[in-house]
Amino acid sequence: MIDLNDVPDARKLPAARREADVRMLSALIRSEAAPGARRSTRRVAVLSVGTVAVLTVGGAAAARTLLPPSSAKVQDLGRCYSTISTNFGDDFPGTSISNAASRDQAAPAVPPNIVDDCAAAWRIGVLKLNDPHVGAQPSGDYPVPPLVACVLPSGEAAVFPGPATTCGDLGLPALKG
Amino acid sequence: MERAPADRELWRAAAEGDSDAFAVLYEQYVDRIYSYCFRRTASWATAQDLTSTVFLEAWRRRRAVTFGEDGSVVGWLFGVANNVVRGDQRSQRRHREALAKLPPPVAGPDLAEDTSSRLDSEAQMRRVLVALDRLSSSDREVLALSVWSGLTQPDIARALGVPVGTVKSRLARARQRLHALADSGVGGPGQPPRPEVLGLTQSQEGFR
Repeated sequence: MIDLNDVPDARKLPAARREADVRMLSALIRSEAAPGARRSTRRVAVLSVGTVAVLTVGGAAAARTLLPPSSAKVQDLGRCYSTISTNFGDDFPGTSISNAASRDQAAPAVPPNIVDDCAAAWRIGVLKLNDPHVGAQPSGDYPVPPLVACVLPSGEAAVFPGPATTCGDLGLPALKG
Repeated sequence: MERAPADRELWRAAAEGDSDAFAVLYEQYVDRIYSYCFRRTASWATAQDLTSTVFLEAWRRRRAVTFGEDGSVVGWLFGVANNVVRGDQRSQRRHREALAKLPPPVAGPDLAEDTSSRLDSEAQMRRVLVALDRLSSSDREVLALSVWSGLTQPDIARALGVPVGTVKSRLARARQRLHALADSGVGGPGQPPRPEVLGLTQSQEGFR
């Protein structure tokens, strides 16, 4: 018998998860509601990440290829890298983000604000520079490095911490738009 | 209780950057969204990730949605949840991959203290979902929002982005199909299904 009322009782979201959610959402809202503070943080971050970027891919700069900007072919996923890397496989350093649609957006688009979405992940501490491990950090407003969006050979959009030349350094086209 | 005006005011404040207002909305609806996600997926752990995704997605879309005088925040929020669940099922393999890179769901006391109960409830829910697989996805969605989440028909209309009349016709169609399944033996050995079996309680049959 299909008894739609014979389903498990509703439960409360576990308290620890609830607190983690609220911390994450509050940090996200606060950071996006204070653009002045965010710009200041980003300027500080530019210096350190710029140095790292040169160290990491400086050797490849001579072989840089300039490809025309491209659109992402994968429509519902993007990647936020925690370091400049040529690891384009599934075990890449960073995190994937999905872009589920809301009611009035029938088809998920390629993350239209993928740089902003990745910046949010940096800001709440999910990503740490050059750290391949992804995870929750204590509540806080973490620095956001300069970010650049490229398109991987798989067609997925990927955001790397680094200067505007990063896509070319990696042999990738920049994300169009 | 009519919460819509208060919810709209909270949403307006939240969209302008008031994290306390967003937290109030979160507390107001998180458990209903969590239970809805569970009843669509039969997994408490998946439901935790989906619940987080729903509120992140709601925040991301804050500038794309406005609520008029009769606008329903709860309807819209369940619409986001419905799309998140639908997207999870559509691209399940890649979504699992993405989730694996995020902090794992919390196995807090609420879950750990009754592991067998949790597993039992997931198995029970899977059985119901398997039975409902015989319905179309639109029928399943309208039943889930009505029966399992207790939304009014206007709220369901907002959630699904269809007119209220369409909600009524979908509920009626779902009821007919469940009748047919019951008659064909899927729902039981020749017994007429009870109204609640069809997911339509007395108040819902009246199309509130």
